[in-house]
Amino acid sequence: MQHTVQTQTAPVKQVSRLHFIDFARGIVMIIMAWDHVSGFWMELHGGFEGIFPFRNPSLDLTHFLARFVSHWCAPTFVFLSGVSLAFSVRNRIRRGQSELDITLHIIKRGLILLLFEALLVSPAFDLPYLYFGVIAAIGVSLIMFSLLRKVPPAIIFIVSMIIILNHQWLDLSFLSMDVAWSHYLRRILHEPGFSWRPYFALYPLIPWIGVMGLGWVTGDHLHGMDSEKIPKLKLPLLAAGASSVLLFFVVRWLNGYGNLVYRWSGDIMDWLYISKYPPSISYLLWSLGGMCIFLAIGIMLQERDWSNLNLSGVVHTFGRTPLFFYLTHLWLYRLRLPRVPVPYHLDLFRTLGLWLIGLAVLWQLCSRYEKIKRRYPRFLQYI
Amino acid sequence: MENKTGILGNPLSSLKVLLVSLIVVGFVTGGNLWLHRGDAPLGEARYSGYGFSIDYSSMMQVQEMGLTGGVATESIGMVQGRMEGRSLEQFGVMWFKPDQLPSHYDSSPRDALKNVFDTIASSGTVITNIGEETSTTVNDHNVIYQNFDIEDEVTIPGVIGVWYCKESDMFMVLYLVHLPDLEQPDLHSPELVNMWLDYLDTVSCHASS
Repeated sequence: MQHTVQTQTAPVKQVSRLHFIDFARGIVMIIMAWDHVSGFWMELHGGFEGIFPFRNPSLDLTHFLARFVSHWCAPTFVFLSGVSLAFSVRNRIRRGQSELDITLHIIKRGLILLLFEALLVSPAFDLPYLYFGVIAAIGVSLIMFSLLRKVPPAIIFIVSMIIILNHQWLDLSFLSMDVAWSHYLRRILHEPGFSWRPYFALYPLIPWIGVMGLGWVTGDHLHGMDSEKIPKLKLPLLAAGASSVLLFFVVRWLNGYGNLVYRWSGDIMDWLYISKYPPSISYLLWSLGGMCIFLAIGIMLQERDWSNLNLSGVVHTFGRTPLFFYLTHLWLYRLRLPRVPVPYHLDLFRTLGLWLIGLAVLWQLCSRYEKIKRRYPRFLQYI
Repeated sequence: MENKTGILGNPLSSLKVLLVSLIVVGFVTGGNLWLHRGDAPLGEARYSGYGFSIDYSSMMQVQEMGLTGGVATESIGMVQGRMEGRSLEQFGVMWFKPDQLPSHYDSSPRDALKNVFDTIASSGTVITNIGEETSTTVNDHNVIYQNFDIEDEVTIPGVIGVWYCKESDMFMVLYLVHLPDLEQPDLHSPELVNMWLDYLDTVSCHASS
């Protein structure tokens, strides 16, 4: 008797959009809105960590922490931009778009981000149009990735890690700080600062492009994954998040390599005063560790199908419309024309109130925008 | 679909690729740590000039000056660092060629130190409580040092030491004055000598400038 053995391989269900990523992005957008509303309206607001080697002594612990929580935002934002880019590119390849079209699409997206930074973001902060902020850093990184996407992920991973772990030794002193173009180049490449108007920069390409590179590699890996394996990522993400945060405390305790700001005392604020401009390893350990935990929570919500319920639904909506949220929230919370100084300052509780009211308005705006974008996807594909 | 072979063609999730990647990253980072092992520690800055170097807190303001007025030169001068807030801390490094010593002094570290005290006294600064001579070494040179007090509106304690650096043919002087709390000027730090020794440890008296 002959037996025929038939092996059946279940088809791999590849993921095209990951809700837990929208959740993590939504969470940091909400926190970022807090940071910006408090920057616009509160008298006591921290900032420029790293450009100033010492923390502002006039900040009490509450105000210090009110700023500190925002450290999760920029790295998560940049990292997830890398993830989204990888998804977008892989989806376009799957749909049969030509390589040239994909490259041009990424370049256009990068240029549009640069335009938004100059015309909408910089004036919202009363900064010159040449200001190089997080949107510009993502824009230039996107343009670079329009070509780097051809490089094998292992190389992107190695180079990104080398950038992040070694940028503290980068010496650009061969570029003069007294000549406008080289001053600006140094600011954009690695030395954030605002000593010469209009050549201001806070988010230098090095090491932020490394953070985006890690996001790209992660996105590339996730895209090839069977969607049924996604829930299994929860524990590794939690472990990665917890160990990053633990390592953050070790690096701060050692007070040497990995820090760009010295811990002057045992005070909790000195422990937590870390360099964001440019981001030190300790800063990235803290913030990307937190991001891993947010991602794990996002998977948990996805598993329980809570993604569209109440608060979780609001967070997901923000996470699905990041650029629209970003551009809108700045002007919504600023509530005044460019160059108009703040008429009065709000205390912490009133600022919290304004933040919550703003979030409710933003939820309505983002929900409506999402519907419009579904109706006119081609027209609104870059926002 | 791209069909790549070899290590770069494999996904990063492959253990082999991840391991190789981490080894490369570790090698580069380790190499950089090794290359930069002599850098000034975080929170400190390094002054390098006039043939010597010293590390100091990056919170300090540093300036160069002549030893008896004017500007610093290769054969005589001083670098002074000062930090003032709730506390006061000031260090100074002086250098002078043996031929800069007045003729009634020997060319010995002891006489060089005596010359420094005389120079300070001639500027109107009152120095009291000069302590006993103690010795240590820096860059294999014998250093003699003493405690002292400066009498100003308050008493400011300090430590000063001198050595002869044969490589640069220069007398080198390092001093430190310190008040831990300006609101309580009578409070003097018992750690003063250790603080001075910490400064001394970072000195290289014949470094390239």
